Amino acid sequence: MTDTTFDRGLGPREWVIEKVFLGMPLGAYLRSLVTPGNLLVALILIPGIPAVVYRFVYGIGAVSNLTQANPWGLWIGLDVMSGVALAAGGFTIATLVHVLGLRDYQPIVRPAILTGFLGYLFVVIGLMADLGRPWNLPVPMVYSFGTGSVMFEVGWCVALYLTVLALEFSPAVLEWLGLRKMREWALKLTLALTVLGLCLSTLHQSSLGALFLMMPHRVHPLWYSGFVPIFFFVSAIAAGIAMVIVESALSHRAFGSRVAPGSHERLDRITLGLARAGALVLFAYFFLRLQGLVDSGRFDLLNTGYGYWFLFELLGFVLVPAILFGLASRQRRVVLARWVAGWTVIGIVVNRLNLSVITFNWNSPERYVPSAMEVLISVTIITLGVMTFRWIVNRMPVLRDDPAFPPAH
Amino acid sequence: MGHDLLTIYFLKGIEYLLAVAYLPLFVLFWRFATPKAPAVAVAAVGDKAPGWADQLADYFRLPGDLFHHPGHAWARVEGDTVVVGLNDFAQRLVGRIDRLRLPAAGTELAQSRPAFSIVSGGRSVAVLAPVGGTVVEVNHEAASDPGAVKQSPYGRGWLLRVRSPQMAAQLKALMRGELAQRWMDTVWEQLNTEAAATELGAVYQDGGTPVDGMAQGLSPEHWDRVARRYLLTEDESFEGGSDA
Repeated sequence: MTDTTFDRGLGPREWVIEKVFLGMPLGAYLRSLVTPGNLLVALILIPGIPAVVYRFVYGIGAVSNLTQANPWGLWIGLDVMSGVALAAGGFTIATLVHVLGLRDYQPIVRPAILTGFLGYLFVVIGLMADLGRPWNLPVPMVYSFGTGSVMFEVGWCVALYLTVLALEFSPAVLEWLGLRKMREWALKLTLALTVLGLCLSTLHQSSLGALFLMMPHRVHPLWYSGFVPIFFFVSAIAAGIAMVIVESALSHRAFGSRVAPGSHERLDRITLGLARAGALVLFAYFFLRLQGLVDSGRFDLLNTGYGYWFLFELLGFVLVPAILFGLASRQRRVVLARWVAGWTVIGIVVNRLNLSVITFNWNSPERYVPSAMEVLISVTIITLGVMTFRWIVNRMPVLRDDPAFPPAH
Repeated sequence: MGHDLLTIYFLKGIEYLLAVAYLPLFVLFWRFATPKAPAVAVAAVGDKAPGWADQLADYFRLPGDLFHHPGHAWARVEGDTVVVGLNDFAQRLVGRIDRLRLPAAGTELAQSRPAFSIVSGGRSVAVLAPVGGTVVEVNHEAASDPGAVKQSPYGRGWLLRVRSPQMAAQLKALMRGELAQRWMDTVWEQLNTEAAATELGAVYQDGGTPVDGMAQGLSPEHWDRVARRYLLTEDESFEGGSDA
């Protein structure tokens, strides 16, 4: 195709109207924002944003129930630990398509990478809420390497991977901006970035688990194992797959007008393929967790309250979804696959919360319960992530190819 | 349970047993999670032409740089004009092309309305315009020698050059890339299923190559109706164009 830029001839005002206000004048655009969904978002953000500001002005003690004995709370357990696992869809799907060559999954690469990118971006924002003093961010990054620290590895890895995800997503942004040459350059980096993303994800998904190796006395013996880094990595793959199924189903429902014609049937096939992959990964993960249980040798603890909770997690959130994913794939039941994916996402969040919050300090008399402000700030961060996803999908070629550009593969 | 020597052996034993049990169980689970083979008409077609599904991928491969209309015309952007032609499937469906009735330069076309027609054996089948706009050039070479469409449907067999005022908007309604290829595969599958059902099944020559004039293979009496159904012009009458 010859070089045809459809943006040619657009003045700055028309460009903003076309690209930012979705082709509507400002007044009409603002009126289009008054929807029940946006009202709910406003109800969350109106108290949520001041709460975030309050946390940074008055410090973590003013808003949270965190103490020296319980330094990790909802922000680490939900926004960071769970957020990183659920953002694993980016590297999982990119590897499937660009490294393993399963081109059938091409249509979900961009949404998966965008989910990954925003997931990590808001992980960093959640981490900032927990750590405070964001101006100190350059310290471990630039002039005070703590190379013996697992957090150093996690910090650098997440920073690098966030950069890789931004570059992987950049062709969509460049298509939106009509920058043809730069987009071609960005596309040439795809394979290298995918391989780099796979390496970095392997490193930090597992090293988030490795954090727990430093505090065996704080983690409940049923959950503690020398294999925790491997559990984290394998379960992140399952989380990424489940999250992509959930996200693509919701996107196709919410952004019906942005979806390419005929792609619903294609998504059904993709969903069933992912369900099968999810079944196999969860099945392997179940046996790994069994090995962890045997390795701990603490069968006696199974007959306690924590033991029942452990068994519920292992059977209810790992083995049952593995079997149901398998059934969905076997009988080609797309709706079942989507419900199981949602259940698996909850299961991974429960697992990360179990390790970092719920059973953390299990033998300490002081229990941690998140404060209302912590919950509000967590919900605010997640809402901002969803809003950003929606803003981008409504403008950039994420769910379908831009007809002005040859397919990016 | 303390970690004395016996306990360690006991636990290690369970770990090994688990690892060994895992391998056959994984194979069984793999088979469980594998979709059951579809019991659709594919099998019936397969009886007539072994391995058709494998060959399907290679026939009617659509060039990735073209936009495709569901009525089997293609469009290629060249500068500020769009070049239009007939795809490989359509020319094989119709078979021998006696004449092409193409609109004269200056004619206004509307997207998804009849643009030109193919004449074969005294019968005429209309083809829909992939884009609307003004015809600025007609390929006289293809018009005088319809064989060009058969030999090079995406190259020298192009038919019209159109200047479209709403090019971007119109191209958005067309298919390209993987989506277009999947659509083509579905159309091809549909044709084969139809061929198997009517027991006329002559869409393949020996060796699996699609025969020329597949519509005639399906219905020698009413092949033009079959062709119109695939070209989406069943209810269209086309009066325009001039015999080449």
